[in-house]
Formats: sequence, structure tokens, C-alpha cells
Amino acid sequence: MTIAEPSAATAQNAPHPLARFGRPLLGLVLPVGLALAWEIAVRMGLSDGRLVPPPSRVYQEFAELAQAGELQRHLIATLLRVLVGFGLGTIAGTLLGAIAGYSAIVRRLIDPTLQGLRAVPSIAWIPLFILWLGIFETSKVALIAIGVFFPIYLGVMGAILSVDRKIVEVGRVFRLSGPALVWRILLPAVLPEYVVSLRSGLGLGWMFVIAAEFMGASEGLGYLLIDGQQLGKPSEIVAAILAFAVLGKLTDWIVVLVSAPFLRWEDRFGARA
Amino acid sequence: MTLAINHVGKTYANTVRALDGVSLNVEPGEIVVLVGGSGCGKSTLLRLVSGLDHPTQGAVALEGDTIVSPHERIGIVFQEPRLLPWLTVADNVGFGLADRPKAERAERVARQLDRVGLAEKANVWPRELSGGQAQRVALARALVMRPEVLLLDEPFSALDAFTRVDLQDHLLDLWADGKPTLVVVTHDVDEAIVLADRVLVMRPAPGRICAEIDIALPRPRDRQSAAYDFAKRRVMAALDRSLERKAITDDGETKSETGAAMWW
Repeated sequence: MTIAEPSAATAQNAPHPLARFGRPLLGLVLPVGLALAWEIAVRMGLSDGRLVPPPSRVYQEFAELAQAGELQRHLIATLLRVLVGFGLGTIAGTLLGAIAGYSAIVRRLIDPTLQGLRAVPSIAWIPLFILWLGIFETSKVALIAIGVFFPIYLGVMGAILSVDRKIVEVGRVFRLSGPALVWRILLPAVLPEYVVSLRSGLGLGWMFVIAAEFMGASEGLGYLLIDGQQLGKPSEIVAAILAFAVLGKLTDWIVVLVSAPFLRWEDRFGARA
Repeated sequence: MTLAINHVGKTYANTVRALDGVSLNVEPGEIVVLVGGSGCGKSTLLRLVSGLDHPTQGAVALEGDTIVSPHERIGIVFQEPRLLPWLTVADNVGFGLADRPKAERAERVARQLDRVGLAEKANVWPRELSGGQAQRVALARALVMRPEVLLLDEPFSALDAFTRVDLQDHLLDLWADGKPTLVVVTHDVDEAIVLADRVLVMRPAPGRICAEIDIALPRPRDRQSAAYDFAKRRVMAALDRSLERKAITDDGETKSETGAAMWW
């Protein structure tokens, strides 16, 4: 009886095979539709497509860049900067956020300073970073790390402060030491919020990599944007923007995918089938 | 392992005196139940014994060992299960055994889960449990540590009447395994009579013990028997007295402002 019931229920709830593929495809309707409409408009001569290149011309641009090996070189340069900056910012933000969340003394000591620094628009650091770290990779990675650091620091600290006191007491009853309490109670409890701050940190990382590459780079997607502007090649700019969109979405998806097994325990609204 | 509570008082930072001069000795294996109206400090007393809070006067000692922080031989079960939602049921039960060898941990967890009748739930998430099941897991998590004193703070008060009666019997059954000392806080008089060797009635403002009633009925206790009813009436009467607004010491004449049915 206990076996028959769930199987009957799953049979009933199993999505129609078409719906399974149809649901993700629904998200493609709008961008693909718009692109197709624009392509048709240009082909029909309604616009010359000089400032807003049609998809075919953007695709051609991609193909040329890929053929020359340029696309890969720029993609990898930008991706590396983001990954290193994101990694450094994540480590620093997680550590400081966890310590400041756990210890009231440390929080009183460092939080006001960090909140003050957070109020500085991160782009404002660029001139200083160039003077300190030179115009090459170090200053770029530092800028990205700064951008990633703050949302993660704030997210971890805020989430730890709002962990249910009753759950923390369970750790005290089992006589956990400070680090054990952080590792076995606080961090798992904040994991859902942590993933959210990782994702917003990553988003900022992608934002700051452009700022970093605008300040003088010989390679990277940001360089490609500037290059397209200076040479009057909108298709190159659109190609770089599309590359950003794909990379940003892809890395965000990887974060979600990697974190999903650790969040299976969640009992939440969004988890329903 | 005698649990000794000596002249314990607790005054909170906002000058509320939650407890004043509470003294109590609990013998090994004894089941003591604290009852009283809300605000009489019964939960506060339990938290002092657990080491989660500190008394402002007096001290709690387990076999001469003063309690200043949670003690390895004292377990506690709260009103809510307080399971860690990111751990499976088995990992929740084994939470306090992290420093034991893996094989020993798995063996003890499996045996304890079997004792609370949830062996088949070992690998599910806490969110999939009913309220009664979750509280049984919380009980297993405390008992797997083989505590010599187990504190229970209104452990079954959030459950429906049937589940509550079921878990009271279950608790006595589990208690018979290792005969730990039990200190139970409840506001359910039936629960007190079913469980207790000794019922302590507390009164508020400041919280103190005002009556002590031995329940000498043999176990298992028949909830319908005349002796059970008699014990229940004695506890009810003591509770009623505990809520008299006027202090008995004032001028000898006391007026009860609250009826028997309103003690909570």
C-alpha cells in the first residue's frame, strides 16, 4: 500500500514529455523572436542595420573573430580575471563575514570601516590601484575582488546574525567550540543566503571586469568593446555584449548547479515541482 | 549522580526576579516534574540546570561538579524539536557523537533510532517528519549521548492529545533503558502524574517551589484509576493555592481570586 500510493502519485504528476522541454524553451521565445524580426526587417530593407547589426552580421563577426583565434584569446583573458578576482573576493568576504558575524567584538572593530569603504563607488579605486599595482593584471584583479568582496561579506555576516538562536543553542548544548559552531551550525544554516550572495558577487565581478578592462587593456571582452567603438564596428560591440551575456549566465548557472546538492534539505516555496 | 540545586536565584538584567532561593535535590534515576503557571520560572530553572544560563545566586551541581556551561552528562530536549534541517535524521541523532569512530557512531545512532521507532526514517530530511516524529528524533539525539540527567522543557506541549499520551508512555519506556534522572517541565497536570515520582509545584513573582507531592503509584499508571484521580486532585489543589494573588504570609486571611480551572 505504501509503495503503490507514491508511484500512483508520481505517475499523475509526471510532466508531459513536451512540457519538460517546452518549459525551458519558453524563455527563448522573446530573444529569438526579436532577433528574427530584426533580421527580417533588415533583409526587407526596412533598415540598413548599420548601427544595429542584424543577427547574421553579428554571427559573421563571431565567426571571423573565432577564425583568427581572437575570440578565444579575449574570452579567456576576461574569464581568468573574473575567476581570480571572484575567488579572492569570495575567500576574503566569507572569512571576514563569518568572523564578524560570529564575534561581536570583531564586528564592532571592523564593520564600521568596511561599511565606510563599501560606500565608496568601487570605480573610484581605479586611479589609486593603477598607481599602487600598475596597469596590468594585478590592479584589474584587485578591482574585481573588491567588487565581489562586499556583497559576500555583507551577505554572510547578515545571514549569520539572523540564524535562529534556538538552533545555535543546540550547538551549545553539544558543547561545540567556536570554530566548530561556525562550521557545523552557522555556515550550513546560512548556505541558502550564501549562494545568493555568491551569485550577486559574481554578477558584480562581471560588471567590474569591464570597468577594469576599460582602464587600459590589450585583450579581453572589455577591450573588444572599446575597439569596436573606436573602429566604428557595432557588430563587434554586440558580439562582445553577447559573449558577456553567455558567460555571465553560464557561470551563474554553474554556481547554482554546484550548490544544488548542498541545498536539497531546503523546505521552500520555490522548490515545488 | 545526585543533581543538587542550592539556593538558586535568577535576576534578569531588567531586574525581573525570575527565581529566588530554589533548592532541590534529585536522586539518580528519579523523575521530577515541575508544574506551575506561566512566568513561575520553571523553564528558567531548567535552563540553569542545563548550563545554558547562569544563576545570579546559588549554584547547580551534578555530583559536586558545579554546572557553569552545558555538561556532557546532562541532555536537554526543548519544546520544539530543534532539528538541524540540513542534516538527515540519522545525522541529527549522531550530531553529538562527531568525535566517536564512525562505526560506533553509526551503530549507536541506528540502535537509538530503532528504540524511538524511526529506523526507517534514518535517511530522510527533518522537513518530511510529523511533529511527533520530529520530537522523537530530538529525544533520540539527546538519549544517544547516554546522559545521566535528561531535562525536558514542555517536550510534548506542541503535539496533539493522542500523540502526547503516546509519547509520554514512550518516554517512560526509553527511561527504563538506562534510568537517567529526568527533570520535566510541563503545564499538563496529567503529564505530571503519568511521569513523576515527585511533582514540584512552583509559584511566580519571584519563582519558587511552593509544594512537593510524591506520586507513589506503580508504573505503568492507569489514567482511569481512583488513585490517579486522587493524585491529580492534590496537584490541582496545590496549583490553585500557588496562584492565590495574596501572599499567605500577609495576614493569614487569603482570598482565592482564581478558580481551579484557571491556574495556567
